[in-house]
Amino acid sequence: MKAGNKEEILLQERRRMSIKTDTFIKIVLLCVSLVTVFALFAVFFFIFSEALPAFTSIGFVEFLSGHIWNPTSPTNPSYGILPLLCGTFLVSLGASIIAIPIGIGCTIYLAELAHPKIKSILKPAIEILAGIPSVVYGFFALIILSDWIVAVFNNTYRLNALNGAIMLAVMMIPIMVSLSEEAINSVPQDLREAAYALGATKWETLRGVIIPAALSGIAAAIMLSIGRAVGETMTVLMACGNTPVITWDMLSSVQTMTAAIAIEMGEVNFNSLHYHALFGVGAVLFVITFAINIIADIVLAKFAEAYH
Amino acid sequence: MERKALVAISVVLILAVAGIAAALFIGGGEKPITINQKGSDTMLELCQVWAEEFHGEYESISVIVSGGGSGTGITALISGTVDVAQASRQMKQSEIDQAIAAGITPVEFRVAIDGIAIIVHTSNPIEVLTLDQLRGIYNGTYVNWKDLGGLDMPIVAYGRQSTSGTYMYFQETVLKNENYTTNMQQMAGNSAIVQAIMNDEGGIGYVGIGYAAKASGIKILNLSKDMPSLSYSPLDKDAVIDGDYVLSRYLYLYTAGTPTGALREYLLWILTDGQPIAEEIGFYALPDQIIEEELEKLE
Repeated sequence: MKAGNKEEILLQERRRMSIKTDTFIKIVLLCVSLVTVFALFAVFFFIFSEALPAFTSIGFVEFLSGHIWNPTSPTNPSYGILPLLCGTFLVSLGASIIAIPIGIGCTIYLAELAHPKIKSILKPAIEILAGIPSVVYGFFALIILSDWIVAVFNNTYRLNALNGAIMLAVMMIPIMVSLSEEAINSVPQDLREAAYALGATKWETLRGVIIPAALSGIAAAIMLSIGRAVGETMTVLMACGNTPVITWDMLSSVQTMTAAIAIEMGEVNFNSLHYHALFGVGAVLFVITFAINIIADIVLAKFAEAYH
Repeated sequence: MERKALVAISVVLILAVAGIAAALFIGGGEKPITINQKGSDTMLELCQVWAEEFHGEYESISVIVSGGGSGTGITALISGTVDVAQASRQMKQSEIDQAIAAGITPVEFRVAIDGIAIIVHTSNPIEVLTLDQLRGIYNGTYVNWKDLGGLDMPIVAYGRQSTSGTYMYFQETVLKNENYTTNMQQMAGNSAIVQAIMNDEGGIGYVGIGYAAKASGIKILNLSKDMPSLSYSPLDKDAVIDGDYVLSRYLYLYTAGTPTGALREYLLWILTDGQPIAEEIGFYALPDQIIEEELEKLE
């Protein structure tokens, strides 16, 4: 009786202690996650407060819809980011058109069809692509790829949107493959077996069961890799020639928003209108990538619901 | 027990602080002097070599040089965060006004001469351009080399990014403050332009003489004010120094007020012993007469 009591007290004590440690760990982890949120808000606040003078003195609509980006013109400085938006859109669109089919095909092959031996070579090879610094891709585009493009299309501009788009596609593929392969792998084995039990072939199972089941993950992977393409800086800076013009021609030189910030921020006069306008470009870029991420989240949630 | 530990820690802390303070106080007299410098990227390599060589001779003075562009350096000088700004262009009136409003009188020193080279692909038969033709290329009037007597091939103009001092100098001198053609490809640096021209048969670009002279696989054009008969190469030292070569310019250092002490020593050294080094880096040394004019500012 006495011994039992003692044991019970000890047990209660231990339980109390473990609750204490639990709350302690909870608080620490909460703080750590709050740091991330705080960092996001700090970046948001900083970019928008620095961009505000540009929006107010140029005019927000004029800033977004102006056709000329020439902030250092001695006679008539213009701060219209439409050419930069156009450049970013053209390059990212080109990259997506190249990367999405290749990425999805690659994922399906790797996840469902490849022989384990081939997979063990192919997968690390694709992952290495993700580890190469973007400046190396840019240099390759500047020196080698641009020559190939000139040889094929016999075009005037060596550095053009296509040059950047191909390079960005190569950078998007590893992200897309590793994220969407995860989605395919997490489709329960039961579903596959059920399909086979109904007499479905491997291809029918793939098309009718596995891909629809993993679609949310694949779609999110595509969105996130597009986000990567929109935000990529060094490669497009070196590959695209940096001419702020509005065009639909993939073989024309273009300038992206990221390249404009990178190339001009280094030498702009501190606190000048040009300086604030570059932050304005950054703010627009922030909104675009933020929107892409939110869309990815929504897509994920929606498809997940439909599947369950 | 705990209280004892606390007392011990406080004692150690107080002793440490006192020790550091004493060390600073005693060592104050021999503290090395540091000169902070910032500005033009074109001059970055030159200024870094100057700083190193100068420190080799005057060990107690070290010079810390960083880049960022002429505009950035001048802004830093005005805000008092650096002692010297290096600039590949003269200060604008607006910048001088800003400095005076901040209580700083900028003093300008010419420290070397640069010739901007116009470069094309080696296969381009053009040898000479007049200033007007060059302006026509960069404002978009000429779009094909055959308009200038060359091959039937589109002209692809390469230039620096809009915030570079060289971009502004070229816009003032060649374009007479007109806008560049929107088709000009903006490159982030001199060597990027050289690299592009090497591979582009229709390309034309402008770079500092140091970059063009060292590169192979490109052709440096002669320039003339108006008639092709009187053309000069940027490799011709005398033509650049006398200003016969139309795209020659001074490179500058700016200080806040007339420099004294270590800063004076530094500028004195650049204007004398530093000049041969400028030639080694690929720029041109100042003529004696200019050096004397600049030395007078140090009196």
